[in-house]
Amino acid sequence: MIRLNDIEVRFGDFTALRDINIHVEEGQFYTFLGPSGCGKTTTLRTITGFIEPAKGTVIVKGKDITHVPVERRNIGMVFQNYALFPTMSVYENIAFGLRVKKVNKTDIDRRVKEMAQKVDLTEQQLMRKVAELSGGQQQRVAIARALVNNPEIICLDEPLSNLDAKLRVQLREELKEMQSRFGITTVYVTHDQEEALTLSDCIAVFNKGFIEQIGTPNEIYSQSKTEFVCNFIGDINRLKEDFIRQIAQKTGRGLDPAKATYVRLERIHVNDGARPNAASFEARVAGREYFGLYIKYQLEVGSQTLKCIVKNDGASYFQVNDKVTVAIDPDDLMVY
Amino acid sequence: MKKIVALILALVFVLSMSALADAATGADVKGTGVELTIYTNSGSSGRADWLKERAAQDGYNLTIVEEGAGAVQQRLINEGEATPCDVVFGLNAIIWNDLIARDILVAIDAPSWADEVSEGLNDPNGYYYAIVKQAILLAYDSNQLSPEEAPKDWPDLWEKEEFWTKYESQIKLTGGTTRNVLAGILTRYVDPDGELGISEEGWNAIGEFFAHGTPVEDGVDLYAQMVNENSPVLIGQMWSSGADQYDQQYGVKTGYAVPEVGVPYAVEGVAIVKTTKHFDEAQRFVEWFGSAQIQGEWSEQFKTMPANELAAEKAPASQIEMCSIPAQDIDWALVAANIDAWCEKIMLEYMQ
Amino acid sequence: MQAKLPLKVRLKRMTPRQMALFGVLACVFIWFIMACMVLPILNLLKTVFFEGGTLSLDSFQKLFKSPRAMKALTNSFILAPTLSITVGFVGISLVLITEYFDIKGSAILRLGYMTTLIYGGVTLVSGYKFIYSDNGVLTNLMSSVFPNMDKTWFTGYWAVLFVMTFSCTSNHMIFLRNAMRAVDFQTVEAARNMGASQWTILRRVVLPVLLPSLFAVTILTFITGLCAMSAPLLVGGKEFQTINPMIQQFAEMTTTSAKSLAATLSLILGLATMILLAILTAIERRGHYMSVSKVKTKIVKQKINNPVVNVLVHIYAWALFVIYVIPVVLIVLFSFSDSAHIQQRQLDFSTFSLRNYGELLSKTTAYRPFLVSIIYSALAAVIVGALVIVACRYIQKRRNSLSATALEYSLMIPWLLPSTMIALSLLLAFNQPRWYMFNKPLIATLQLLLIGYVIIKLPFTMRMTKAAFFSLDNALEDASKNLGASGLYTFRRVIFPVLLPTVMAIAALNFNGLLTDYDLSVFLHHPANPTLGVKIKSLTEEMGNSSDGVALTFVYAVLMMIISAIVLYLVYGRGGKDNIKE
Repeated sequence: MIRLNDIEVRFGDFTALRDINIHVEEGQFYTFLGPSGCGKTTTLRTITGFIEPAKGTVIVKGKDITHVPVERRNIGMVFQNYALFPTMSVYENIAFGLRVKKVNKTDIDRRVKEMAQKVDLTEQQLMRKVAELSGGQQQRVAIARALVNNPEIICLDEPLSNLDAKLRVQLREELKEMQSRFGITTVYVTHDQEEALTLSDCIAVFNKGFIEQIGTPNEIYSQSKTEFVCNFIGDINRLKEDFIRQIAQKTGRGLDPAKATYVRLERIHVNDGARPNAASFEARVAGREYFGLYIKYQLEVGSQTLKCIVKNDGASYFQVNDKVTVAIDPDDLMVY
Repeated sequence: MKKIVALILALVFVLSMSALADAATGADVKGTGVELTIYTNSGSSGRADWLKERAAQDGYNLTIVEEGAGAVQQRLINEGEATPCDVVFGLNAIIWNDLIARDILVAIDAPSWADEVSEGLNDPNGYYYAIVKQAILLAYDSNQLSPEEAPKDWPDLWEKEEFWTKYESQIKLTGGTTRNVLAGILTRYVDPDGELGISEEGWNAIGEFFAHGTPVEDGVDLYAQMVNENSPVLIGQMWSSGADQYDQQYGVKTGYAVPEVGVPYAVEGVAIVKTTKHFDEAQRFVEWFGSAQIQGEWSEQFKTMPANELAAEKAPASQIEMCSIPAQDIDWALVAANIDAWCEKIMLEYMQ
Repeated sequence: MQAKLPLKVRLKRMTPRQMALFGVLACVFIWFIMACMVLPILNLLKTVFFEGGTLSLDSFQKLFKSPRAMKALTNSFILAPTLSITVGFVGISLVLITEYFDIKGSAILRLGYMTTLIYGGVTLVSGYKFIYSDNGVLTNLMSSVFPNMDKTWFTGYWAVLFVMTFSCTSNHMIFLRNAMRAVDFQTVEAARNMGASQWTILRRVVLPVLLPSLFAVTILTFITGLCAMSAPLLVGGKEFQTINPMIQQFAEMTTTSAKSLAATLSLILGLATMILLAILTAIERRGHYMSVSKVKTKIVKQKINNPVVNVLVHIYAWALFVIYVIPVVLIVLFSFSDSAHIQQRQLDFSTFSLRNYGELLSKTTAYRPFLVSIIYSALAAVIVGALVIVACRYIQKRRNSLSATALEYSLMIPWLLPSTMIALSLLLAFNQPRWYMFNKPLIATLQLLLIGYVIIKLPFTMRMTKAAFFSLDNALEDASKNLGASGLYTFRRVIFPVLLPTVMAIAALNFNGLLTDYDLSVFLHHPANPTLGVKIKSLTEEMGNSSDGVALTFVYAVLMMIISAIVLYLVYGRGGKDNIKE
């Protein structure tokens, strides 16, 4: 559906993107993930046409659209701050794209109302000024405005970042539900790894203008290809050289202590019985954070601090200074 | 044969008609309705409206553009050949001579009333003819100064300490009255070898004149200062028709100096612009406008002093008296050629 | 953030229609800038400095030798910076009083402070003289207490500074107030939460946000100070005359040498203006203090906590109100009186009549100039607004490109010369056929004055409109294009409506400013259609005119105040309400 081939984008002397190659399949929910300034929005804007790459091609459905102007691409977009037109009513905002296409009045009216219903906007809300709506409502207007034109692709640029946590989660679900309902190919930009993991079919992790890794959420999370990815996604423990040596000793695996070695929090097993391939250590509980669903502990094994989480299943609940046994399977180590 | 008779008759008719037309002079010369554009500085207080209406009665179709004298002068210079102006009236001798020097006016045959105008007011070369005369006076408030105490001539102002700060000195040198006063003073010191044709003595005199006066308060006229007890000003320049108006308005009585050398006269005249496309109608208008009849009506209406002596009786007595002061002998062409340079020098070097 | 492409590439991508539009607009702008500004000004400089083919710098010598010219120049350069400070102070106070602090009766105060928007120049200064000059209301009051005081105290530098300080706050009342409304109130709350005092909040949080607008209006004040005209003439007295009246007098003389003096003095002022603009632009480049917050909250008027300060501020606010309003009231009252009483500043109700109003409204020659001025001013305000919007759009899209910078600076050219000189340059250029004006002389045509009006309002309009453009959210345009709208459609339907309130406010200011113009009109007006300014001036021309002219000028002034007030209400009053809704 969308192919970016060897895209390079420059702003003056600064190269913002280099060697970007992405393939988005039809109907996919594709996420660009990365810290701010990593190039994910720039890539999105290259797809929508706000930015023309210095090199490379943008291909949509086999057609090269690298130099097609924005207004002729029919790729929907939802902006970070929604970019609703302040001088128009909600209705006019949604109808804007249809008016541009000179759709006849009755059709416009029907489609706007249908769309409004789909995104849960009432008729009264349609007649309001956009400034009078709440953040969540504005976001829905922005989505409706993009979808009413029946685009084959929709691009969303951090559409949830302005909302409070609860609304964010709620709209995230709505978004996913809508996407699957409409079946639209979706390109989604976010810096929130949780959002990326829950929504996406496929994720591209960006860093400093490069793509670090492309893969399914599980691949990204569990088989992070680079040190950057494993650090950026989720919480993680970096192991000290001495500790790595001990694991190697205990398991007989050939581990190189000079290499950066990580283990995810949930792969550290606490008082979990014997594990044949794992290395076990005595550890002291140094601190804990209570999350309800789970508890996050800070453990000390000599000079190595390990963070780990334990499901709050009622079986085990440790106090600070308790002694526990931790087990780490060398297969769970990520080495770079 | 019949044809010839008819032709002769027609000829006789035409000739007699033209003879009749020739015979008509002054206010009897009717306009043909051709539109004339007239520039003047003497159009406000209803003058433009009055003239337009009065002229319409006699068949003239006038468009009157009224502006300050300097602005009219500038406009004519700048518009050059493109000017829509046919006739100019008002202004003063300095500007008239400048316009003549710039070849903007056309000399015309003397209108029938030219001889009725006081001597020396019409342009000797026929470029403009006088209609109204204004004596430029050294005026004072006679309630506060007796004729004995009052200055007798302009030099008294700076030569006698008693008048210092009691007279107004101008801050803008573009006005007609001001320029006539300056011309009246400076031309007493003409010296072809001096700077800008004026001797050093003359420049010193001007310097003293400006040094000892009280500068004009912009927007406030001389008479307001005279009656203002907070202002030292009692003396200043005034044009003759203004004196009466201000007397009435402020309840004062204008006294004026009668210098031995006479006073400058600002001659309001009428002239035809060289580039006019309606020369014949313009000429008819000049003939009509300057006539004793029309000038008399004008004088009656606006209390001015006509240059036309036959109309003079219609003028108020006070005007007749003021305008009986002899005219100062001034070389207007010299003034016209130099006044801007003089003013420039005064502005840079002498003004306060 | 748009990656820039070379013009060549852009042209290639355009549709034929876009190309045609671009071509036509480019031609129009290049022609207009060259034919109406650059070439006439060069021609003027050539005429005055190269008479007879050789460069003549006599005028510099003459001026440097003239103590009067040097003093006037010094005075102008003293006035401009000091005025910038005093006007800045008063301007900020007005904004704080009307928009920030909780002051009793602020709605009425605001109306009072806005009076400078409806009158100016000689009328305004006369209004102040009715109060402070000898025989003025206040002077009489004071002299009854101190009989020995000098009744002519209101003259010189301090008088000029005083009058101009209160008369030059118009831009503050519009643009600085808008900036104040844009302050994110959450920042104030945050500062308070961190324990900042009201004074600290004002100084460290609120005022910094106003700074960019303050810079912009200060530039305007500085230029106004440099070009001061009526105030020094009317209350400057012997010791405080400035340069612009001199320029005007020299320009009105017919000799080249006088005109070269005018041009030289103008160039000195122009140079100062240019330096100032360069400094401002540099400061501006350092960055905007735009609000970064996504969810702004509207300002809530702050009650002053310290009771003593509160009372003092109230007294100050109402004292300012009195200073602003009394001149207007007196002008209206005196317009019913006669010339003699006006000039003696004696308010005598027995002299009141409607005679002057009757005379003015019944005669065509008296009210025709009104129509002429209204039509010209409205046309010019619309044209200049349209030109500048197109230019700003181009500058916005091609930010930092050479052509955009060139365009921006070209439209600032008129600030380099006083309007008298601009008029003169047009006059000298177009009193003969010029190839760049299609070989048609423009003298004595209706369009000449219109060109002049448009030109002198370009820089102000440019600065203010550009500010509005640059505070636009770029995402709006992206969104519209993304929905398939062409650039033109986007501009028409999305961008222009957002800008409209600002554009209208600027147009109203331009209209009001041009309504009374004299400097340009006197040189450029069509002979049969003199403007109001010319008409009014001719009323007080000396010889041969009625001595009642002064009274008529007051009637004109009052009628103009009414028109200006109506225009402001229609445009700004309603625009203002819209702003509040946002």
